[in-house]
Amino acid sequence: MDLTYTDTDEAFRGQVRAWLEVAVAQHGAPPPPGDWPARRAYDTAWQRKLHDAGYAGLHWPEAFGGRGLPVSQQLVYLEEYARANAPYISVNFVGMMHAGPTLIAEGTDEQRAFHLPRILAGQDVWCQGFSEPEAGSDLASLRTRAVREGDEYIVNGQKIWSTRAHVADFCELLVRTDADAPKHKGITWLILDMHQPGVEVRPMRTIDGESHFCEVFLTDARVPVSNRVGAENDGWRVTNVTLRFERGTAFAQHIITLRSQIRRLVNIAQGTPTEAGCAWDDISLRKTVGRLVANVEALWRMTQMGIAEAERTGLPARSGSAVKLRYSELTQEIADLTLRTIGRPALAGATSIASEAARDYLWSLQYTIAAGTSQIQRNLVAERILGMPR
Amino acid sequence: MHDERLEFRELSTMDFRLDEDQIALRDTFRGFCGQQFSLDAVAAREATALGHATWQALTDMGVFGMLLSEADGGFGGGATCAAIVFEQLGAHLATGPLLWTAASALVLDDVAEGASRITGIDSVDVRVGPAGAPFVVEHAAESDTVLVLSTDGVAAVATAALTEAIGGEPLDPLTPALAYASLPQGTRVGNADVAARLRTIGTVLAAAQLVGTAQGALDVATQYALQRHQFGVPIGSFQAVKHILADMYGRVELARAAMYAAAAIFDDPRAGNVSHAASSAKLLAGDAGLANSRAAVQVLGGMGFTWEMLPHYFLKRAWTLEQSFGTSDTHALSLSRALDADVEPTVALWT
Repeated sequence: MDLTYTDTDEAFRGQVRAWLEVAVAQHGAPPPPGDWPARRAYDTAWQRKLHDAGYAGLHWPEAFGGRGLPVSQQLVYLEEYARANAPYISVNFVGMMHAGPTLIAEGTDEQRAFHLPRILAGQDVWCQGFSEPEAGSDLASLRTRAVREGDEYIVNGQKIWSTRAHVADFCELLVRTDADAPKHKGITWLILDMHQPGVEVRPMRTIDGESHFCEVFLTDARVPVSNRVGAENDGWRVTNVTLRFERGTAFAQHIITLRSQIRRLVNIAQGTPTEAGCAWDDISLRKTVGRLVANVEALWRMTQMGIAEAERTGLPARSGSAVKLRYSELTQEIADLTLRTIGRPALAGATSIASEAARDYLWSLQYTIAAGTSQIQRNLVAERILGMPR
Repeated sequence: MHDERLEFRELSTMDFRLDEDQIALRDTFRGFCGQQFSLDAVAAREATALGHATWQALTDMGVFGMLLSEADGGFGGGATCAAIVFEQLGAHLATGPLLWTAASALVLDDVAEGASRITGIDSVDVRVGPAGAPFVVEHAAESDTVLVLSTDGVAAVATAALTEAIGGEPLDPLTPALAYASLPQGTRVGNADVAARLRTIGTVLAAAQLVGTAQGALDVATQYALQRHQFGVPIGSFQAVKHILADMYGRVELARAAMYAAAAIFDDPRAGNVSHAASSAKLLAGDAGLANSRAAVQVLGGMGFTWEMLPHYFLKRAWTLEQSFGTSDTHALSLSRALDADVEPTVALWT
């Protein structure tokens, strides 16, 4: 066991820190919540800057346009990225963390050559077309049908919970291509071009008043057979490569960002006057925050171990579900405590800090639901790791 | 620009895993503890001093010299190897003043050879109230010396010089403990730095033992959930039980990650802040040890409430360790104080 960064790692840290310091300030503040076209422009322009400076796809292999950096430098980058409060990955998440890695693992040469450079450079935005109204936790029961006609699949059905689909160019789409096969054996993974007549996107208004998620209605949408990733009816296996990735390492950026969320909470507590002084003088708040710090630091260690294991074995670490469980709950605990610390001023959105804390709190509720609910994750841990019967 | 990027391609030596030797050490001690501290025979170890043969076997295995370099007659494995050993000792509910004896090798002679049994107390664990809270010393009856850690140094007190003990039944039948109204002055054996170092390694090893305790409780609950049938199926097939077990797993994995990080940082301080890492480890291991053993009682149901099953031993041991080298609350407060310096100057929020 050796947890020390080398001099090379530290030199890399210095370079990243210096670049971020200038670039983050130059890029400015994100657009106001709700303006999705502006958010897309802001996020993709940032991705372009990362790309031009050589910081896009540090974890992607060099052969596919990434940097192929060793784990330790990926970790350094994530730590510095969070420290600099650099823009959230946002509209680039599915492309960089999901669709891109899936194409690297399972795509054809043509698919990789076209899409990977565009994802890295922030040219295209991707969304996910997995969940359906009747296929949530039981994803494999999805019903959206694709029927082959010559060189194309004709797709009909409805997807839901597609994050940022209203600003997406492509969708990683799961469809049923064999209705008679067992449910896991009749699914195919397709690349859907969102800009076509058979694709209708309806944003959904969520608990925080925003529209992060969309319903996607597919009516005779067309997908060239050359846009299929993996074999026909082999889509469940292709999906699992990325689903496990999602539960393992794709959240690393979110986890390290919890450090700054705790700092913000302390800052708010220090600035909130009480009769005796400020909210940060309160011993019970301090004890709770101390526990949060320990959790965040340990979770970061687990994430580091998971990334290292994934790098070594080529498969996501098996502790991924446990990391995702703790991460999603921790995010909620921090958001909840922040809102409590602010107290009544949040009721009126009295300051931008108060409104942001309220929005963050409401948004945080999705973490224990999205990407496999906490209940599903607990089932997975008990069955796959502890060997409990299904 | 391209060349500049290339220079960073050199492979890192960073490794978050136990290496092959460390895994072999863990497996060796798992086997050793299975023989010396069999969980099937745990009742026979209640309220007794550790037998001479087992003490000798522990000495021969290098447990008490684990922290010493080979040049000093030790094992040379550092805190990481000691943590591996104490995790196994924790999982097997080992008895005797093992932790303090191993830690005291850093300040006392001949300890590595098993010449004496050392126990101790840390002033952070003593609340001196108006009525004068007693000093509780674990394994006092079988130990030769009590090490007393304070902020300004380390004192060694011969147990023969202790006044008459007060109190009765220990909470943990596997950790006999005696209470004393006062402690003699003793002999000064180390300065404030030595005291701090002993406190840190004690905190890490207590965390290691708690991780073992949390894992042991999970193992007991897992086995029971597979064997116990109700409604014609193993109770482990019920989601309500699965979710308890999954949470136990999450707690012990998190604590283990924090604990080995703290041990590695103790061995190589360049890797981080050892005091913060030790606090995180002890806090999470304490919480995991208590919550997991508490959950094991619940998973075993009525049987979990009986003396003959294992969960109560894990629960009581977890309490004992949680109350040593700083409670979870103590460490949480230390971590919160570290933020005072870390967070940028306060801005007034409402003006």
